[in-house]
Amino acid sequence: MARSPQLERRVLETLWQGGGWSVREVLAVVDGELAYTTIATVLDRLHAKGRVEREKEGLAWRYRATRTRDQALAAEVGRVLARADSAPEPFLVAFLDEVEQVDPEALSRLEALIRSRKERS
Amino acid sequence: MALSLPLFVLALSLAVAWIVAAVLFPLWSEWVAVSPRLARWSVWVAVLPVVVGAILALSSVIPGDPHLNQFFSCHCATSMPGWLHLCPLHPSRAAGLMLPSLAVLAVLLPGRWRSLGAVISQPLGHGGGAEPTVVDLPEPTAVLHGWLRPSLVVDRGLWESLSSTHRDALAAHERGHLRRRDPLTLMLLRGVVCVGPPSAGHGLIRGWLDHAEFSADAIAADELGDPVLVAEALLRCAQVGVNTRQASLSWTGGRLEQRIQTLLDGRDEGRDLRPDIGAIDLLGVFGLGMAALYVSPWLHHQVEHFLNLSL
Repeated sequence: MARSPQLERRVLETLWQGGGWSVREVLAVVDGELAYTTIATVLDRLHAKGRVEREKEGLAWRYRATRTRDQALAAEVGRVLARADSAPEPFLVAFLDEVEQVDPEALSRLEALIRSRKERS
Repeated sequence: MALSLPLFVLALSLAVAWIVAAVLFPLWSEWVAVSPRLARWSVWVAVLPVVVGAILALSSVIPGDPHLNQFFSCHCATSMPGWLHLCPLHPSRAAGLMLPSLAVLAVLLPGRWRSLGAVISQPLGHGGGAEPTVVDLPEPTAVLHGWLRPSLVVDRGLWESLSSTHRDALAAHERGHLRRRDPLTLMLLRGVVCVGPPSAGHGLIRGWLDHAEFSADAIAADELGDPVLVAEALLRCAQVGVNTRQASLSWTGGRLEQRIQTLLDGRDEGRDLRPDIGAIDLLGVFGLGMAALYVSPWLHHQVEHFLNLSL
């Protein structure tokens, strides 16, 4: 069986396609060979974490993601950035991570430098 | 003394790794600051304390297998088959090393285990590579999120303030990181430096990260055929950050100016277009491990002499 976080991810990817999904429908998309109860447990766990909401339809639950994929990713990266701010060592590869160290004068100087280089070429 | 031998061996090995890291990492950071070209080897340096600790562990726990006698003229090898011949079997005479070793485990290591836990719990990522996902972030930044299946995540405000050429430059830079497998290397580096004292590895990681940034800049410049574009994109991102008055990530090294100057001057700051962890590096670590295995019986005797435990 796939590791639980990976399975959670696959289930979420399914729900992010939009609409409400029954356990059986999720099971068919994620991996038809898994047990029904495995998917039901994962969905239950995601519901407890607030990642999915559910409503009763007849005897079964229908699940939908509480956030879109992008919203979920933004929240995840936001958490990582918050941790990065207090981390003793860098743990992200960022395009630019020294904005606060740059004073506006230095930026103007660099801008002039780039402009002159463009004019020359 | 009824203390567990594995505990002793682990403690002694970690204590040795700790001391090696405490001395080596800050020294290495200084050398890299003087000569940025050295940064490519930071991965090796970060692994070294672990290897030294492992050698010590091997020297103590190598099994006493008679067949080994063909290779090692070592009395451990003539012990009973499968019997672990350990110097610390006589721990009462090794109390001088036992106490500081246990102190390492009891006092110093819990924080490092937590750091290691923080490294391991980092998100794997959702894939997608350098194809940007534009979302609302608390900071105007662009990051590769996830260490195994990274995806480029860009703040919407930042993205919308970039021209299409600057967006291309940003994506090319991140492709450079992906080509070099930098997110994975960074994660491994952070994991390995956890054997050392807190903050000892900071300079080492910072130095390597600078090297990775210069290299990704160079890759982007090569890909776009115009280093000025990359320099412009860097400057634009910095301007957006300053204008929005939001501090970006706070481990800063203040390298923006140097990166832009390097791009404009076409200087080589020890850039490396290849991954810093490649097949050769892995082979090297394997070779180091084999060498450790080979020298461990010899080292075992040195340790015994040192502890005055020769049989």
